[in-house]
Amino acid sequence: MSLSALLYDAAVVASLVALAAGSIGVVVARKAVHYIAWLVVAALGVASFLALAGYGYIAAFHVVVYVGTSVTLLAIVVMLLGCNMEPRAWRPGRLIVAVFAAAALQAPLLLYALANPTPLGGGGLSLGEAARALLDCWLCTLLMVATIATVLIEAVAIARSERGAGE
Amino acid sequence: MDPIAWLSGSLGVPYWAVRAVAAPLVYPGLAAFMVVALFIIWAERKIAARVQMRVGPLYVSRRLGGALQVLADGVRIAFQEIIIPVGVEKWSFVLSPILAFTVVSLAFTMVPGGPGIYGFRSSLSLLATYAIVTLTPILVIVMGWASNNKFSYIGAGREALVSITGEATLLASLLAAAMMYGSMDFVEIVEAQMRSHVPGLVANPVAALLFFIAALLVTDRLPFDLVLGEQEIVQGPYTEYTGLLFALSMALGYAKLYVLMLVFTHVFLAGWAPFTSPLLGSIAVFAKTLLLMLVAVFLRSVYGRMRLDQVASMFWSKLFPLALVAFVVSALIHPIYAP
Repeated sequence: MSLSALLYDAAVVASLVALAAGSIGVVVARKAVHYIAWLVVAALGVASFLALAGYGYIAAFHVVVYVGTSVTLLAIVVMLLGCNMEPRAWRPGRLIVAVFAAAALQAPLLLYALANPTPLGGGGLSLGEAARALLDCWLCTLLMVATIATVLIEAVAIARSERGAGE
Repeated sequence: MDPIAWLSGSLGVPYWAVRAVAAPLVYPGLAAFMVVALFIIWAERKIAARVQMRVGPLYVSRRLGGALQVLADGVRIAFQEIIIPVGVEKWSFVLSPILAFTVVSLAFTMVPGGPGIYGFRSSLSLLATYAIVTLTPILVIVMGWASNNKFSYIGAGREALVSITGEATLLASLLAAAMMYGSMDFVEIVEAQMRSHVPGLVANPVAALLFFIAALLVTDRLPFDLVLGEQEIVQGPYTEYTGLLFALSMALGYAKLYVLMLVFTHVFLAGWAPFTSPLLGSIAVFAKTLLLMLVAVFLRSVYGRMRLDQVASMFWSKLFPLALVAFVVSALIHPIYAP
């Protein structure tokens, strides 16, 4: 395998790991500014994956708009509201939801990558082609549906219990 | 002989990989930035001293006019203890200046230092460089928040407001320039200017002026010295930093200024024109960038500071609408850069 192909694969894996870590971090972070930092990591993961798939322009604007501006605006709001240094209550349910949410988002992509070992090559991943490949793999579709359903049920359960605790 | 080709041959590593590492580390990257930073900080202090009828740095290397004073300060700071105050968010406090400086250094992979001297060439290098620069305010906000100090906290809030205000105008002026050249690739932009013999500064002075003013704001230079605000909030988000972390946080502003002035050189001053050889072209780019930075630091001596509300009002109500004029100028001028 050539060095560029190896680096390309490593970059794809790194961007997916960043996306997963960011999305889990946002949910489980215990301080307001940490949410923002994890959101940046997730957004950079998305941007780098888009760039690797051949959508460089969208990737650059994703960084400019979502990281450069939106997250900074979010930071202003958090600071104006007052983000104190007190740790929030630890809720393991959040971690479970976060992990499943990340898995639901990434499982199809990973399975698609495993089923099609040839690199995307920056030639532009067609969404239609990706959807066709995804639907061809019945296991991918089944796993995705099952995971999303699990996440929904868990999210509803946690939301109900939090409301109950608040009341 | 091409040093990159020689390194590539002797290490058995592809040419592009050596170039991708050499650009951010050597030229136009960190090694060149060190030289620029040492010179610019000395020049800034010396110019301010002359304007105020003082002597400025003198005793370290008296024959060179105190030119090595900054190096001596750097060595002293490097060996100072890094104090982590009680109550700070330790990992955010330590990692954010390091990450911020690393992020800015990544921009050196995209900006060419001369003809054929770049880390990566992309059709979107202008936008990618800008995107990288916009990442730093988040880390500065984290620095201010993690310090657990009111001055730092106010400084971080100012950084957030200033970055939103300045980056809108900065992006608008860059997009106006990209529209004028019909490209976002630095090499194509410079070649278009060399082909037509009209630098961007002459073709669209409105975009150039807006870019320069917005660059002063986002790099926290006077008259927009709001984030540091020495007279009001000590050192803004960097108040609690000591030793090497303080040096990194101070270098961050200069690194951003260096990157943005390199961008200005390529987009509005025709980059390496009139030369086409790598050596002479690199010297031309370096000299133009240094000159722009000298102008930026000279303003410190002659301007007062604006208030935050004045800056926000000026940018949103006057300069940002002016960016729309820059787009109109670009649309009219565009044919002269057509291939």
